[in-house]
Amino acid sequence: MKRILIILCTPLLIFGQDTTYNHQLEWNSNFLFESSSLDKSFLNTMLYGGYITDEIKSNWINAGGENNILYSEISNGLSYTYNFKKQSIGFSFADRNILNASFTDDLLRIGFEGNFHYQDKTLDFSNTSIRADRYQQYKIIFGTAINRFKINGGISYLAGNHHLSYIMEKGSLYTAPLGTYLDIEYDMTAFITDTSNFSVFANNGNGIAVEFSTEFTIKDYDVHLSITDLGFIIWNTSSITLATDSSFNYQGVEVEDIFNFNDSVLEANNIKDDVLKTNNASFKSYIPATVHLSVSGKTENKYFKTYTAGVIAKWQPYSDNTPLSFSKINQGFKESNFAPLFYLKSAFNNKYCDIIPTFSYGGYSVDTNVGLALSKGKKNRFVLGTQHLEDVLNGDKAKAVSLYFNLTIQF
Amino acid sequence: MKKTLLIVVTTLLFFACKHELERPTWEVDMIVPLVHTKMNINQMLTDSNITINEDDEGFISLVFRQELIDMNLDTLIKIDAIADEQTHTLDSVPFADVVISDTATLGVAINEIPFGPILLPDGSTNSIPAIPNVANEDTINVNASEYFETMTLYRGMLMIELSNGYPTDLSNVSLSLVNSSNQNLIGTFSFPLILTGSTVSESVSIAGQTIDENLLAILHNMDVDASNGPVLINYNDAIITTITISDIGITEATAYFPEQQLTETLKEHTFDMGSAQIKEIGIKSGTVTVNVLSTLPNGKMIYNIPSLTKNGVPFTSGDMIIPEATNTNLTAFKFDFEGYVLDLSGMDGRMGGDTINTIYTEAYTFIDSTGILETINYTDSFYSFVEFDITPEYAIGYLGQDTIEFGPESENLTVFNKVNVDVFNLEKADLKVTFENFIGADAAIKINDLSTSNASTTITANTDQNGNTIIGHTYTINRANLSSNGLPIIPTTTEILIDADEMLDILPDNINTHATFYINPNGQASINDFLYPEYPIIASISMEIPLSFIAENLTLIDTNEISINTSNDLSIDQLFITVKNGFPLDANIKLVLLDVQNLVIDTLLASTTILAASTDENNLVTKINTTSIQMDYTNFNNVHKVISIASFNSMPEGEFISIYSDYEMDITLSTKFRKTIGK
Repeated sequence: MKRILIILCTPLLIFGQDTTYNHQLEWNSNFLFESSSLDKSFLNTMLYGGYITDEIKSNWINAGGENNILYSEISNGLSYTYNFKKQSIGFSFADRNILNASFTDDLLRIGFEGNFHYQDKTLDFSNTSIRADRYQQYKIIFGTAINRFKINGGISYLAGNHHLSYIMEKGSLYTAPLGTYLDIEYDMTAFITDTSNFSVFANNGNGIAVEFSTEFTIKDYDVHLSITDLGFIIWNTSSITLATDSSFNYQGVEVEDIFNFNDSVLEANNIKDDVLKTNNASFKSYIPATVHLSVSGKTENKYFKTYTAGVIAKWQPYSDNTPLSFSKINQGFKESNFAPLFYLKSAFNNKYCDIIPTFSYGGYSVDTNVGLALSKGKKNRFVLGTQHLEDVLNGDKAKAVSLYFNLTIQF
Repeated sequence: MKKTLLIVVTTLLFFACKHELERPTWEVDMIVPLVHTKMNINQMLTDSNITINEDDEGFISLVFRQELIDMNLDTLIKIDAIADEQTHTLDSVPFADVVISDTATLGVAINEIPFGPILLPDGSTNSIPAIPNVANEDTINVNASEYFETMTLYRGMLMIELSNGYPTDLSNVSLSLVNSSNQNLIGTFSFPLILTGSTVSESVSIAGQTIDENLLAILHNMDVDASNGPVLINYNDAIITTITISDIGITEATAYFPEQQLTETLKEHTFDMGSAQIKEIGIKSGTVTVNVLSTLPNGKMIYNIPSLTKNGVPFTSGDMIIPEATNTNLTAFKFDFEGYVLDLSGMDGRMGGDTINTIYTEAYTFIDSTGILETINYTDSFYSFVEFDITPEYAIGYLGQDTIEFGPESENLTVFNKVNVDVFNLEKADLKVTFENFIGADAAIKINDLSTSNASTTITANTDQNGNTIIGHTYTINRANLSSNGLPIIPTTTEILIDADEMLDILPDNINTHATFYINPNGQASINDFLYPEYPIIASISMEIPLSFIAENLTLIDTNEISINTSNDLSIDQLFITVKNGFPLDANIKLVLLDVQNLVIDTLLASTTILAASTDENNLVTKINTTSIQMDYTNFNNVHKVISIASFNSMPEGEFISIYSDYEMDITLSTKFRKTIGK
């Protein structure tokens, strides 16, 4: 959601508004599904059910590279801004649902196919991360202009509803021929908020986020730099935490007399209980922060009079395991699963509506994407767009689906 | 604005038109190990009668041991006898004499003479004239109620004794004694002259007569002779009449009976112990029961066994009060003799010196005094006998000569029950018969039969380690000794070693034994024998089988119950058995599945070979070989039993292979199953 608004609305943000109107009311909705390898058929199947055949499994596993990134977000928000002469103050509320997962093809193999076809092989699902959050963000923003700089700062209260994260730094399964033994190695942590209450607005955690942005002009270029949603949520002590690190060789239940065999022999050894030893404790998780740098300028082109070029990066470390440092900052960029997104955008104005095309590369899909937005109105404006126009035509083979709209009313 | 609103509504509708959310389903194929085991020879041979020994190099020998003969020698010295049976009737019982006394003083007699006290005052010295008929049909009451109420005698003597204490002679004394109730004459007595200071008596038989408690003595006549000059007149001088009833044989009597011993039986009792000559028995447990039946209203018995002591104190029963019998049931008095020592050398100081197998006892029976009138008659009796039931802890003496036959007996051998074989050849096997003798007596054993057999063949033991032909040979078993005349016993051991590989090659079902055991075959020794029944002779047979053999189609058949229920969302596709065989034996496996009614469901494995481990030129295992078996049968819900038939062949063929303790068979059971996710 934020990426779209940042790309699209940078020139349309609070500062660039026609200050004739003091009041601005804005509604934003965004749906985004983006994958580096899994396509829309995966999304459809996971959401709407159906039987997954061997062919489907094979297609999913063979799509893309060995590592798969999957990102999905559904968010809705409402904001209000009051503009003074040189300052502004704004309030916003947003409801955000985010899924951010990274996993290897081997995890898909074990999850969808099992280990039977991988005897005498090691399935490696190290560096698997699955994070899901649902929270509300209540923000207050203050903006001012100082000399040539327009500065904007904001602080948010985050009301956490649910969180699930599952991080496996190290994980592998070796299956011996004919299943004579399994070599299992794992180093995983997992957090899940209180499972006794699944209501949509359950309060299982509280957090804080800050944002800062600035805009200034150098020669004929408008430079924008912002960092938004830099924050975290602390989840309550009813949360379930799991941290386990082990490796073992499993050869089945040891028996003395293999001919006196019955179910109770199997029940004698339940590895699941040994592996899944959980605690109840509080934990902290980060929301994805966005760092954005862009430069806007004018062109001589008859149709595309303005352009904006920029780069967006995300920062979201798995956990708060080390103090803030350069390596921690680097860790956050890496663990966000978001490759720096480079984009180029322009706007084509015509009497019916403004057409805003965008070309970008990077992001969660690490792919080239073509976005298109249609904007209608000046005082009251409606924007409808997608970041993945090329995937609209790919049907079930699309690796991304996105749709957003923005409604702004000024008075 | 309207257009904007239209676009907004359209977009919202887009989001509103979504499908119902559902879970996807898919199937995964997993292969996991279920069960794993490592079996070495220790785990394969689970018969509790088999011990597995290994030498320094781990070479295995099987040792099979079981009791050969169960000897119970309690009967040699058990005392289980009845003794001291006796019956006493009253007619055989002597009763104490009844003595009744009457005193007639001179003073009373003088007072009856007119002017007698004046003429013959007390203390005076006067001559007493002759006074004829001093007594003339005078009656004197004789009260015997202190002694009896009535007595009918079949035997008895009544004696009247007159003691003349007068200072003059008495003459012509005649009196009669009658029952005052019916005036029956009991007896008449006549004394012509009773000198002063003398006593005369006369007895009559009262057999057949009934005597009442109140008697009348009728003094028909008594003359006082003149004194010989003046004599001192002492009114206290008296004629004392004593009536004594003696030699009483009661037909019936109602009387106050004093405590009176009826019988006294002091005797030795000899127990029948066959040829054993026992001097002493320590009693482990046992009882002596004195059984008594008495028709007397107040019987009592005391039973002593001086031969029986505990801590030096001889046994006495104390007073045993016998209730009057109302039926034929005896009253039993039981005494516990645990911890006692029974001296079987007879009575102390007996003539002829100590004897054997004999105890000395003392039995006394009484009429107990109750102080009340009791009625008894001649048929009343006292019957008693003593039961000895003693289990000895030990016996010392001469155990005698005895021959005990053991068998013929056939002991079932289960170790080979599940085994069939075409060719089985043990390189070596030893059979050892061991006799551990805890008896302090010389013994010998003759083996009449020692063989093994199966359904078709019997192989008899041949020669022992000394070259003796075992069958018919008599083996001497030396006597044991005591440590300082007590426990513990120092036993002696006699072993017979037999080369038994041929006996075991037939994989026998039975071991057959028949033996004759002799105690003291050479008669009595110069030292005492002893026997502690708890420590008899232990005879056992053990087989030591070094596991070096040739086997061809050595087949083990076993049936085991299993219970596996497959869940609905778990579909077992295949089972795999992976065997890493470290034994130098090929195996051919067949598994048959049975239901709860023992009907065959299916054959899980038809005939699958498991490769033997590889061996070197010394037939020692050098490499483990792995065999994998795949089974497609998956529905075990109705399977109740599995019959496993395994045939083994030693490798290389025709050569002896040895089994070592580190040889193992590693078996893993794994399964491929299909699980449906999302259902």
